[in-house]
Amino acid sequence: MNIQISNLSSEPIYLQIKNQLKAAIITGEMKEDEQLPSIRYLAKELRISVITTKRAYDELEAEGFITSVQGKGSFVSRQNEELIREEQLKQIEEALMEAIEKGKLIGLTIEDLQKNLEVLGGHD
Amino acid sequence: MIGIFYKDIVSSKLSYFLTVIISLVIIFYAISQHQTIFIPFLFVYLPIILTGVAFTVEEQSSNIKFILTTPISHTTYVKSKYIFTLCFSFLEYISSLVVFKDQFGNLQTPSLIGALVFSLPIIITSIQIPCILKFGAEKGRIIMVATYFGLFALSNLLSDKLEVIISKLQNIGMSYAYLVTAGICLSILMIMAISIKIGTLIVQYKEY
Amino acid sequence: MEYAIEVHQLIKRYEDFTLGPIDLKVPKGYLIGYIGENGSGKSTTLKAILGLIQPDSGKITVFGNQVKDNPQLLNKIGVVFDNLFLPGEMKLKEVGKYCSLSFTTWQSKQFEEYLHQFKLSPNKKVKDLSRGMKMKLSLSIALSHQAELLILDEATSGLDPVVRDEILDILLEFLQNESHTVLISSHILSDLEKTADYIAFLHKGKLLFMEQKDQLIEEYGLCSVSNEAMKTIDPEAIVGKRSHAFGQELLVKRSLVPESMELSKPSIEDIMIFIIKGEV
Repeated sequence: MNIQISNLSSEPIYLQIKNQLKAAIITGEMKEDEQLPSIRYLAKELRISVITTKRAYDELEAEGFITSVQGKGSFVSRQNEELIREEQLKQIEEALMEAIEKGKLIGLTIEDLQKNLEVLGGHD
Repeated sequence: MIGIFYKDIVSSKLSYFLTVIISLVIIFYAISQHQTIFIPFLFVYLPIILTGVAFTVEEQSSNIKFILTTPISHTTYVKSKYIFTLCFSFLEYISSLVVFKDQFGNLQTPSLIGALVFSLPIIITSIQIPCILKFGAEKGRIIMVATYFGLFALSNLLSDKLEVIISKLQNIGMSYAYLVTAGICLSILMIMAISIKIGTLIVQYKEY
Repeated sequence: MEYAIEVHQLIKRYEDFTLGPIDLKVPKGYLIGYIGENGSGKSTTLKAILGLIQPDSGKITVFGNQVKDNPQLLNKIGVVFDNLFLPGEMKLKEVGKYCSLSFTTWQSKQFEEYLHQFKLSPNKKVKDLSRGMKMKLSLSIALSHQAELLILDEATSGLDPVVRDEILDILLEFLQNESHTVLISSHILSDLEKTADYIAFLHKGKLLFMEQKDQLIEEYGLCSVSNEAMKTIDPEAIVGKRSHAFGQELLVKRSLVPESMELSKPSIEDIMIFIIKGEV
């Protein structure tokens, strides 16, 4: 698994970790019941504070992506299909928003984009 | 305590080695010249020198700051500084017995003389160590020099009055000799205990 | 939360300087950076914790006990000062022997491994070590008696960046155990910038704050504004400022300025300097 921390990003470090772990779970890179690196190990390897890592894990747990077992570590939880679907829908929305913003820059209307989408996707 | 004593020895091996060599030379010289009476007195000077060396080396490296971060109580640290003296005092006592045994043909009188000589270095270090702990090895050395002179004067005085003292000692009943020896030793050890207590208090309230 | 060190109302008076009253709780399991300018009282605090000096008042406990009443506690505390206070004539293997006679929890094997790892020869004398090597020896000793708390007093100052980096790795390795705690005083903040969990900031003998580093960095923001624009900002929001010929640089509390304001992330160093120098 890869985790990259960027100091240039305006995103706080805990959020960067959280998002990358979340992506790994959603894409299936990390399977159900797979153990996550320990908080302290991750902190050491990335040279960030333990509290930062802990916060990322705590939020992932609160959102239902991972479960922590006292004394054993954190594991990818059984994924709620709905949760994943919701998360993926959110990502698609974000990508579409980006396309709309970029389209606006060169004067494309929503209709134009729709046509584009149909061409690209093909339709039965 | 053993730890600190070990450190004191290995941290100035050369000084101790030289001291031992010089002492051996003096002992052999004394024996060859039939002046064996010097031997017990040699053991009076040695612990004072060695204690001084130990403190100087310790001070050069601010070693006390390290020592106080090891799990050693202040009392143990102070006690470790009396080991030299105790060892040599013991040697002194033994050597007094050996040296004076032939002279008197019995053990009682040498035992008394031994006890007196035994008490000297302990009394001196009992003054010396709290002074060094309080004022540092540098100023402590001045006190050391002063005690040297004191000792020198005392040993001069003693050798002049030796006959008188010995006859007086012989007047103490032979049967009481060991009792008096024990009494002297006990009171000397008490002086040492008080000195250790004072030394500990000094270390406790000093800033490092 | 469990605490490794608890300092309560510590006061130490000197002729020209008074430390405290200091209240400081060091949580177990974290790396705490104790920062402040030279002479702010960092070393005095650490010495008081270790029982090397007598406080005028206050109570200090380490793992619930006072060091001066309980020297055995020092088995559990690894100490690294800015200098190695061992006689120069001692060989490193003799240092090991000495420590084995002093610490009841001494691990000779571990000590030898550290010497090997740091490329320190057991036959070398203390006086022949470079500054960096002395620091590594000091750290080797501190880590070889099963310490649960490491106290480093300006240990990394004066070392080159490569050695500092090596030492940082060792500290992070030490912290892999959840019950291990590191308290490090330093005025070199780059070391602490990323890895510290908490920052305690001492200024002129007073503890200004002890906060999670992440919170600290999120709480404050840096911005450059013109003199006119500064007047529109809530004075309460400005923590520190640096006025220059062409405007103002400000350290502000994010919660008290409009969200539209463009703020950059401050470093711990920025926060320290702005607070010390920025008279508002």
